[in-house]
Amino acid sequence: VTSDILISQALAFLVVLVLGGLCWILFGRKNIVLDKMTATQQLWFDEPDFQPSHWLMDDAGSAAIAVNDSEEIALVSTIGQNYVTRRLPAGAVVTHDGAQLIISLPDHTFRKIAIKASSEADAGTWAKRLSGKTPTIVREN
Amino acid sequence: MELPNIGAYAVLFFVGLIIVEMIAVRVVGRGRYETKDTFASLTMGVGNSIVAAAGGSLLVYFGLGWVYQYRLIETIPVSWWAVLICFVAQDFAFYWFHRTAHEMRWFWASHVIHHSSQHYNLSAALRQTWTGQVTLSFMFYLPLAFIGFPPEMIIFVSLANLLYQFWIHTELIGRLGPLEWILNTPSHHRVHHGTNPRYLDANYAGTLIIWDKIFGTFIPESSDEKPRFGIIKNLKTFNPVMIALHEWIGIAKDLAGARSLKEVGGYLFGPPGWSPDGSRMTSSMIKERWESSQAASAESLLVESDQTTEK
Repeated sequence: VTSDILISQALAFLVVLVLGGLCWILFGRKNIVLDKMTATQQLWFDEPDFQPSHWLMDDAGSAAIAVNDSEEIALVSTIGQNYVTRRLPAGAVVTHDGAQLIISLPDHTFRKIAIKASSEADAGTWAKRLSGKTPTIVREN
Repeated sequence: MELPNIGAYAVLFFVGLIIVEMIAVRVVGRGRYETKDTFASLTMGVGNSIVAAAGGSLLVYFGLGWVYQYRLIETIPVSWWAVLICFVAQDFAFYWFHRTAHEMRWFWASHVIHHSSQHYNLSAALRQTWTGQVTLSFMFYLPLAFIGFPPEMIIFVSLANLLYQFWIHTELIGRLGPLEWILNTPSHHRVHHGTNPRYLDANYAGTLIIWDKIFGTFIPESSDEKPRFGIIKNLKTFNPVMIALHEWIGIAKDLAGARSLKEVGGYLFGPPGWSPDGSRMTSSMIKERWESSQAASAESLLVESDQTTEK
């Protein structure tokens, strides 16, 4: 019985490889590119209360940071051919490496976002701007 | 009458239809497939079958068998009419299991996996939980064994129901006329997978959509609004282990910060998105926010048209 189960599971993995391969042949492995209009639409859907007023768009089109008039922050990122959005959570760490702005989130479903700014100075300015904006959750007792 | 082993044919059915759908999507251009997402979904499906083979199915079988000892009806024969009644009864139990799986985080932590793809295709139908047995979700079917339906029959109709639900995970098929009145269809189930506020908490049916119509959870697909698939907070990963466990990790993090038994209860058995201070959104809160924004815009339109009439 055990060997039958092992054989059937091995076959199942083979089927996954075959179907995944067919999918790759038919649809490729293209990643989507994020532009400002799409990022705005994503935010409008996921965070309808958030009205972005400033943007930092990644040069490669993989992510964006949005700021609203209250200086709250939202993030939009690509994942394959789709998008994921989050409000900047409490405990996020913002650093920059040259022109690359890196935000590490305490969220196991959205760990990191890297955005290439136009220059190192620009990334530094954004890092400073975002560092003070990781909100603290206020809990009622 | 002997119950056929439909599980043996299921894999061929799944693989065959997925290949047909992939080619059709490529040719027709309706629906979407993505390689990484497909790999993730299919791996989740294989993981689900590994868990079942490793003992999950036995747990369910023994659970049903134990209750069956105390059955109300001594002998229900394995006949076509008994199978039909058992199927309808199981579908009714499935409705309540499925509804609870969306309304209680304990069950949602396992069921969320099935909703975690932003694609809606036949591969996503196989994106199944690895932790279903941990939640003891088979409890919903114990009343069937208590009535007197043999465990083999309950398992058979459950598999038949799952098999039925497979083909409705597609964007290729539009509406199916009068069948939409009684059966769960691709259109009805697209609504169920939609994260648009108007589509939240709807269409929990397995095979028969009548349960949603009876219990007030039915929402038809609107031609004005295409469902947007996924979950409220979509995942930025294709890692199957993270997909399988992410909500459990979330629960563990929340429990670590819980300050009272009430909070522990809320995090475990409250609705997904529940928080002690209301700082997170549950689906009903999202729906309420959407409904009030709709009402506000309707009101402003009314005022505008009144002003135009006065002029």
